[in-house]
Amino acid sequence: MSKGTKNSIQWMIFVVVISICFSSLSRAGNRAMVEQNTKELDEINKKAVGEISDLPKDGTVKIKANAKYKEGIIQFNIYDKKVSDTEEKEIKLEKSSELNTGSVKEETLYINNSNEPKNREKQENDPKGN
Amino acid sequence: MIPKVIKLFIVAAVCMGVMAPSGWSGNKRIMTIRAAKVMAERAIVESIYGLKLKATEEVKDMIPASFEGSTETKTQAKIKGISYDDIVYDQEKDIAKVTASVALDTITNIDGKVMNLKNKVYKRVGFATSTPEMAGPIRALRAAELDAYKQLIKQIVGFTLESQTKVENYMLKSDLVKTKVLATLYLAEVTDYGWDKQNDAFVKMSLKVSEISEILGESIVDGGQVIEVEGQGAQEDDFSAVKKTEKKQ
Repeated sequence: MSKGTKNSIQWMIFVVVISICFSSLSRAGNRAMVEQNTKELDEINKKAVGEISDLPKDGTVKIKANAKYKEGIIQFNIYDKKVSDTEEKEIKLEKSSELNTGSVKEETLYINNSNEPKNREKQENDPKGN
Repeated sequence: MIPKVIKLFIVAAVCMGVMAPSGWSGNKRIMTIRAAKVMAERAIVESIYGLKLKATEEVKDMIPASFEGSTETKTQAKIKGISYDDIVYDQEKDIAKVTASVALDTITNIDGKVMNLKNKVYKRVGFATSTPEMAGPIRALRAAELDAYKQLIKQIVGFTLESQTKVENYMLKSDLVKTKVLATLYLAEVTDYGWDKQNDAFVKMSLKVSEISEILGESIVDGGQVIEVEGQGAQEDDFSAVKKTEKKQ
């Protein structure tokens, strides 16, 4: 490679690096604001859900809360809470008897056992009486 | 060689080109200033009489591309005696800035409460342009203003949070988070505003709780507190572009 070609490649790399640096510095627009907002919403939600005492190991938590700041600290009044836990249970069926539909051999079924919300839902402090 | 007639024509065209913008600015200038006055009037109404604000935010799976947010405001009032102290017009950018002020003894606010303002002077600034290409900074400033109003309401009144969260091995994995704000706000004061190096706008607002308590003649919990917020507004919608790209992928 000639010295001239080497120099021009070096210049090109320099220009590309500088332009990347400047473009990130002068990045304006609502993207950064949205990213910040998303982060804040996630933190608020984590804080609210973290206040629930009976969090399941695996499951879904639905909450409705009134949030208010007091002396700079956010406080939640959770007025509707639904907790449904999901556990993987192993159920063994040992059937070797002949049935009309044909023979059933020993099987292992993995059932994703999601409990009915009606039995497991917990609703506390619901001001609306829902 | 260029004939004399063509030379004269070129000179005349250049002169017209130079002189014309200043000649046209008459009507445009008046219209832009008038629009800025209206903007300042609205700001005064929002500050004193108050405004109703409705805002929602929603995000799925903590992904910024799924973020949906909207803010709406409403206000309507008749206020007499508004004066315009400072009128500045930038001919090059076709942007007008007007400072409006008013001093009232009493006013019935958006909630129907009579406020004893004791002739305190309230000032607000309004910007406007007649040139759509120049509207970017003004739109960003208005967005920052609305964001500041929303933040003030969140601090004072609070907001509703609705979420559906997945938990795995006692670890929180946010799935859907929604917040709602619906309230009225009055007596918010703008303490500072401007644009940063990236041309994004900011508006700083404050609310003196003790002063509001005195004006309303009611004791407010957490009195003596001064609530300060900073709203942000962008000129460019680079978020929508990212959203479109991610949807395509």
